[in-house]
Amino acid sequence: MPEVLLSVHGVNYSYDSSLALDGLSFDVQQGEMVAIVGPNGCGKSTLLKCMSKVLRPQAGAVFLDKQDIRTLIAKDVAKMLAVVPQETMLEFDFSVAEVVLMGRQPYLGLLKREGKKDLSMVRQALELTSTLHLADRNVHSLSGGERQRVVIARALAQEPQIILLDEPTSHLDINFQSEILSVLDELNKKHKITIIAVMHDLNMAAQYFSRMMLLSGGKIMMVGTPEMVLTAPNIKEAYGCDVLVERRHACSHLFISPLLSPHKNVRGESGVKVHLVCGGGTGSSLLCAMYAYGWSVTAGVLSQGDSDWEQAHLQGIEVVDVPPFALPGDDEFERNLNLMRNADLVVLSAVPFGRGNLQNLYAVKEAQAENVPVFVVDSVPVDKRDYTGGEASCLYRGILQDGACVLKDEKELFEAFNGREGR
Amino acid sequence: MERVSVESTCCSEGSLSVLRQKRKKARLLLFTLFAALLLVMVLAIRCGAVDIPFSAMFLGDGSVSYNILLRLRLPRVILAALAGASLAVAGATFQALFRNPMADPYIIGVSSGASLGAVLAIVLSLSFSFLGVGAIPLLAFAAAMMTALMVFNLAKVGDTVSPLTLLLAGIAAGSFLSAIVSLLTYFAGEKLHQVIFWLMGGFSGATWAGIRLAFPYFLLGTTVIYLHARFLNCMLLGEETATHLGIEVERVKKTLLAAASLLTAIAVATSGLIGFVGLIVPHVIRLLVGPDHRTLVPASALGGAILMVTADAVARTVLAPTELPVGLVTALGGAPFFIYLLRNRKKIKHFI
Repeated sequence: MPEVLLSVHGVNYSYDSSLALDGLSFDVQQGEMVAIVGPNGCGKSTLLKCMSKVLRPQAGAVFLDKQDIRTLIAKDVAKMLAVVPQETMLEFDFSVAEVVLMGRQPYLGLLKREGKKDLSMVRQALELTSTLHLADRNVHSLSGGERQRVVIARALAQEPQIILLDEPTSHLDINFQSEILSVLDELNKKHKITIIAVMHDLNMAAQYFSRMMLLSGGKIMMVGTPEMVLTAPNIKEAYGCDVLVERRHACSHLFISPLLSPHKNVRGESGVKVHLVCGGGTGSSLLCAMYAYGWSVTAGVLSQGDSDWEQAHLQGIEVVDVPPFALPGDDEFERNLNLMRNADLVVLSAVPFGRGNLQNLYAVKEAQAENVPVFVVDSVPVDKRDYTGGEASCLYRGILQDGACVLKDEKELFEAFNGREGR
Repeated sequence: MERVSVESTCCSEGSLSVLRQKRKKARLLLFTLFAALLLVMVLAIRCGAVDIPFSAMFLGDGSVSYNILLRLRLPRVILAALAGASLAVAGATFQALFRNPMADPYIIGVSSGASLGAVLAIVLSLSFSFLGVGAIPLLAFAAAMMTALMVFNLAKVGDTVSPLTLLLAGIAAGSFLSAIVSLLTYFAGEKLHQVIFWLMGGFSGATWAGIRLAFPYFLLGTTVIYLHARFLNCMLLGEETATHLGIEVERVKKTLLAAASLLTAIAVATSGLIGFVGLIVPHVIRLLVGPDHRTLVPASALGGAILMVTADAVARTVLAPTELPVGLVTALGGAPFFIYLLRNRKKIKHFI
């Protein structure tokens, strides 16, 4: 059981009259890599400053290795915790080696000169950040990425257990961004340094951090894995912005993209209610597209953990679900059917049918009988995705015969619908 | 990881040599400056209105030449060196604390305080003395320290002192006190000449007693600042970064402000207002060896001493037997240099 290294306990901080942090509490364990995300002005940087003893919270306390940081002197804090600020003023004629050597400050007294140990720590820090070749250079001649690595090297020279970073990649181009984050990742994985970073870029955060903390209005909205935290409804609530959250492939991290115009204007206004019957990834892109078009989407019945289920979950869509490999019971069937009844149309993706989801077809048929329009994406012939020995094909054809609208691919759905709406 | 290992093998030996090189360069500069200071001091003792060979030193107490050399010129040269060193070290400290290349020892109004003390002593014809030191320097010193304390407390918000507020409080207090000085000067009457002469600064009143009184404070101030040289380096990166590096910023800032104010007060009390030394010397030294205060502080002390001793020698000899105020010489030489610096802001950007 890894031990708690940093603990924030009911911290309140206000600038004059405006409350920046409102009773925050959380723990960070040894070896974690945590991203703090949230909209501008949500208190991320203030939190970082409270954790590094730059600001003193008006209420609550921060514990570093079980000790209240108010009782620790700056030197002892600096030996445990190093900070990489958003921007470091480095316009002086110091060499890189000298700047990194400043990281040894907490270990030196008034009279003590830097010794062999200090120099070897500096060298090690330079090596870990691949900046050894820059040691002789003047810091003001460095590029943005090099400069940030040097500042990280200085932090490492402090031999810290935790490194706090305030938007470490915000001034860097995409190449340097991933370079810096890879350095941090390596420090975390190989050298067991706990990393806590305020991140602006949600995609970068999702890619590199295993734990997220979403702040909003000085409070923690949610803490957890990227999949738990970075869902469309959470982001909407915190940032006030509609996004698509996708996983590009099985091993990819989450991608968050804001919904831009023209879809953005439509979102939330069109009022079209759709129920989607899908599964096994056949509905993911359809789901995203419908969401982007501003349709309100429901889905079901899906197995938990199914990739369509995850997509629906990330996007905050109402889903009727069952545990993996469980067959839907009457209750699920009924709830699914009710969603269909409430919808303006039901869309059936080119999902393979087996015993597990055959009930969905019965539900579609029943909804159709109650005059809910049904759209079928028929990109793969039903015989090739029927694993029920013909029962599914039979039902499917019945649905087609009863007047379902057949679409060759997903795009046709929107074309057909736009045309219909236009009329 | 591959990249790391490649680099560490290709330039593993001596890649931190930059540190050693810089230290070597610093040592060389300090040695050179020290030698230069000795030379300048010897020359300064030698020259003056009356030409006296060094052999006069061995003539004994009775002779006029001996007295001029050891009772007038030697203390004068030593005091000039002390004042120059104090001002330059104070200037370097204030420039780092304020992170402002234009900061000088007088920035927080110490000079105006000292002037007020001195002018009061002159106008009120105070004539007491303490340990052989007259009323004017004593009052100037006391007023200077009081001003520093007052400005510091004015600028304090809660437990912290922001450099910007300190700067503004210094300017405000400075102009207020200067106004009082002007008022006193206006009513100085026949003492006007003495007042103005003091304000322009000079070492004509140098005595061994004055040196004895000033030296311990000088030693205290410079030692404290030198010991905090590494802290000053960190402060250059910003107060927040300094905190992250384990420095109790507020405490260190207070200590350094007190030490620098003390040095300024000694200089002003013993020699009046001498401008530009505290501003320019740190800049020149920074151009020579970079911003590391472990070199910058002692080198500024030596450089300030050299400049002041030279300026005083020029002031004594250029129109001999008439003596120019030293403040005039440093201002005449310093102002154009300062303008040159202003015109080359790009360079300034790198050395503060």
